[in-house]
Amino acid sequence: MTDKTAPLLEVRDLSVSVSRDGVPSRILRGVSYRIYPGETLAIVGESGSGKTIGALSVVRLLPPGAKIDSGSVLYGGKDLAALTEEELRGVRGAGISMVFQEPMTSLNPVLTIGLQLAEPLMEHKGLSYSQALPACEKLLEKVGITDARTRLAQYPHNFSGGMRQRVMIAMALACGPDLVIADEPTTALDVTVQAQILDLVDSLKKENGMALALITHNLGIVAQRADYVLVFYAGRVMERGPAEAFFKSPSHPYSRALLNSLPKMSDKPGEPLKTIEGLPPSFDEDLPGCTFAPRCPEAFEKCRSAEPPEFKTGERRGSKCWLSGPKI
Amino acid sequence: MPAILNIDNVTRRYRKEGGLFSSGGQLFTAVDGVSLALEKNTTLGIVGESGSGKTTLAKLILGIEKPDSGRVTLEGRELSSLSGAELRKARRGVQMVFQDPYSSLNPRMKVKDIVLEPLRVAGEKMADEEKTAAGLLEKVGLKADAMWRYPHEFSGGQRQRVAIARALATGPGIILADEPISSLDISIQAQIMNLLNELKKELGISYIFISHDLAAVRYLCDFVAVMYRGCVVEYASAAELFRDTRHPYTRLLLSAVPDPDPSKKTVLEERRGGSGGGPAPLACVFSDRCPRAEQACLAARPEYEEINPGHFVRCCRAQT
Repeated sequence: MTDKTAPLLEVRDLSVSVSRDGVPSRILRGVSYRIYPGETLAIVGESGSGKTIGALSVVRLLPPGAKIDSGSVLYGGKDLAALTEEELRGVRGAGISMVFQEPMTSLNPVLTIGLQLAEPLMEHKGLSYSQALPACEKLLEKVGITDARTRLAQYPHNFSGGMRQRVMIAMALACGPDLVIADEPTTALDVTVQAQILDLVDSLKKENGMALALITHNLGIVAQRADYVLVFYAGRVMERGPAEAFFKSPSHPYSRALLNSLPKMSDKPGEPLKTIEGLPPSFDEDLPGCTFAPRCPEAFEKCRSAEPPEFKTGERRGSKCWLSGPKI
Repeated sequence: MPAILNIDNVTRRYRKEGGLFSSGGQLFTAVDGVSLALEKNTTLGIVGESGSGKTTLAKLILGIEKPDSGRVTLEGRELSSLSGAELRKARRGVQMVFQDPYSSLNPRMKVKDIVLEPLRVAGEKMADEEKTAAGLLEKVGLKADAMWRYPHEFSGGQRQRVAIARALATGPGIILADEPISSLDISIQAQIMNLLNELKKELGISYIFISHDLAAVRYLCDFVAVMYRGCVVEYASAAELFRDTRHPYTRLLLSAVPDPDPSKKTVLEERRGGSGGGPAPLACVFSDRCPRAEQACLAARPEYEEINPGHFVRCCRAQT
């Protein structure tokens, strides 16, 4: 992706906090990133790192009690973070749509597939149910579901997990979005089905020219599918960069540790895997230095006293680590 | 080497629910003529997609289900012939670690009671409960004072350690682990895999490792059985299975695993859509999805053949 094209979406210095019993925890701290048209952006990190919030806060799909403290989300000349709930509804499911992890729970079990598929079209395009049906049939065919007309009258329990995820994808595509945010879309599926679904998403992406924000903890999927990678840790983006460069030479010690802890085909079975000792910090913990320093094998004095800013490590690459900064 | 567990031509069928007013449905074969052996101090991986019979096989090994035909022999004793006290005693030899440590530990029990529960159920008298619990926790890398805390005070990885400590309590010869790492974060997965390997070395345990994470299987397992529709379609040492893959289904599985190296593009092996009602009753179980299926595959179920020493395949085209 060249810098000449304007970004489709730009997140600037976004901070989110969640209040529990009146005590706020900062779960996202000054996150910035851009998504360009047609790009697959992978958002990786451990559970609790803020990767899901980091993506879903774009359309303000936040857990109860959470709110955006500061920052902006620029999309189509508007700041989504400043829109009213009413105005945001015009964006969700239309320009930006979502696919969630659990196809078992994110479909309504008592409504037909047709009705659920037609909903975004009725909501955003002002169509009636009968007007929307032909489009629904086409959508199902597009995601590889045969006998679409019969399928539309069926309920989610008639569909297998992979088929349900196809329906979710069809719903996300209904209004021709330019960005789809997919939160662990294949985690609940078998590997062969996972590969089929990801192939499907790739081909639809090419066909429609949409961008994809893929939240995942599977680095294999990132390596195979992503153009650009964001690594989240403790509510911060620790490293960003084009996927190829990231896997070839990760800048941040945390990224290196993550990649090293994967069992590789070249590993000798039985030899201990490299692990990251310790646990990620909780949100309330405010360390004076780098949040990864307590677990970092390369940490030195400065890391424990001052939080590093993001240093540029290459074209569209950055790393929040003192080791990536100018040599002292 | 002597086998600690022998599964000999085991079949388990269930009657499909035919609906509220139906008088009884069709038979569904969950495990279909499976023969496997687990050698002492080795790890056997069982891989396959959901619905392939992995969990039913696990239940048969634990003696929770009885086979319709065939035998499960644990340390020389046939499980289905045992009952009551004898069965309970035999079951102490196989313990279980489940996928999700958030639901497999009772939130209202202290860790001490969780790890000692198998011993209490077995009616074991402990001279010093605290010492026993501390010893178990230490084996899995937790501090002794963890025993006074509740599951919610621990992270996912620590909870899985508690679950492993509980599995070790009765001093089992076999630990059956059903997707023990798939709900954990990457950095924690490596810790748990290392722990499993350390315990294997220290205590001489054998594992049955049920997983769909083929990289983890390759790393942890000595032998691998690939299941499809209740059958073992391929079995070999892990090294051989990944080097000389013979069954088209195993190839399909391997081709579906995304490689964490972007320069190695993985391409899903083309296959025909298997959306229909499955293979014909007499045909090879994989014939409706197999890219290499031919007339012979539809006519008769292929035999489970040893094509190389220790390498078994159920495919009539495996030789080519």
